[in-house]
Amino acid sequence: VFGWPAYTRRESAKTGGDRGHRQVPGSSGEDRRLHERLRARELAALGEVYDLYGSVVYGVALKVAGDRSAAEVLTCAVFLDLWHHSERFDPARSQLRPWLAMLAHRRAAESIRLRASTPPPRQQLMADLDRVIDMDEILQSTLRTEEVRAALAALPEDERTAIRLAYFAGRTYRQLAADLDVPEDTIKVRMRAGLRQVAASAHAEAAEEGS
Amino acid sequence: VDHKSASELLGPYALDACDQAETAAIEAHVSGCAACQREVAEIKEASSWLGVFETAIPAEWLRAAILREAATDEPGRVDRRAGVGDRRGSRAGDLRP
Repeated sequence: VFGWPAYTRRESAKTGGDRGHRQVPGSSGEDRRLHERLRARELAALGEVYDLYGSVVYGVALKVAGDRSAAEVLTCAVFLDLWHHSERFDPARSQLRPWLAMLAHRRAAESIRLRASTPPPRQQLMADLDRVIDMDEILQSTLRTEEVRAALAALPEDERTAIRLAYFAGRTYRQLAADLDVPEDTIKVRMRAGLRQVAASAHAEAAEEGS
Repeated sequence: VDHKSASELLGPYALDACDQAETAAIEAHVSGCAACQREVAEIKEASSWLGVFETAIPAEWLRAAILREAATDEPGRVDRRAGVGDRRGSRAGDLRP
């Protein structure tokens, strides 16, 4: 449903899951070194982070915002966030790839809401992009890609649909309740229960693989 | 918002699926509620992975434009929002060369 290949634990065991990724760019070791250089204000490090994750940030922004020009502005805003607020990223708790995807998604979702609610004066879009996002610091990420894929694939259809439409179509839960003709409370529950289930089963799988 | 309403909105919140006013209200509650903080950390971790396969190749000029913006952004620009300290905003003006 997410456009990802079906995934089973057996395949994971065969390929060793995502474990090998920790040793290559995108690993926490690489993230840590890049982060140290960002903290030291080394501009070249920002370029290297862009080379690694620019396509994720731009891809999320493009998917949600729907046009290239908006996605370019959003991508720029995300990388300037990283440049100016690199202290918000904690390499001990999180990985750059999902962290940047999260920033991109939040900015993109905000920008389409703004676009929908008011005529989009460029000034206002810029002011919105200026707003610093405060909740990033509590994000932890010890999970790996394969575990999250598997957990999503195992969700009940209605939960997966609510999550998918919210995330990839940038719909609010209210819009989704209307789109799907179900009560708002039902949508809220599907999103929360689905995400909790993803978190729980991804962690369970991580623990099993790690043992 | 009270704990019940805020916690019921954590799923939508973690998917950026609340409107701005709700988002602000949830964040105000979560910042003072340990239980909600734990849950947000947990489900945000899950949602943060949703987009990692959604890659697209940006135009080549964008890399240089971003580095140029980063290099020329003046230090010392202070965010005026009360209580935010010196967190500076970022500018993303006309990027295209």
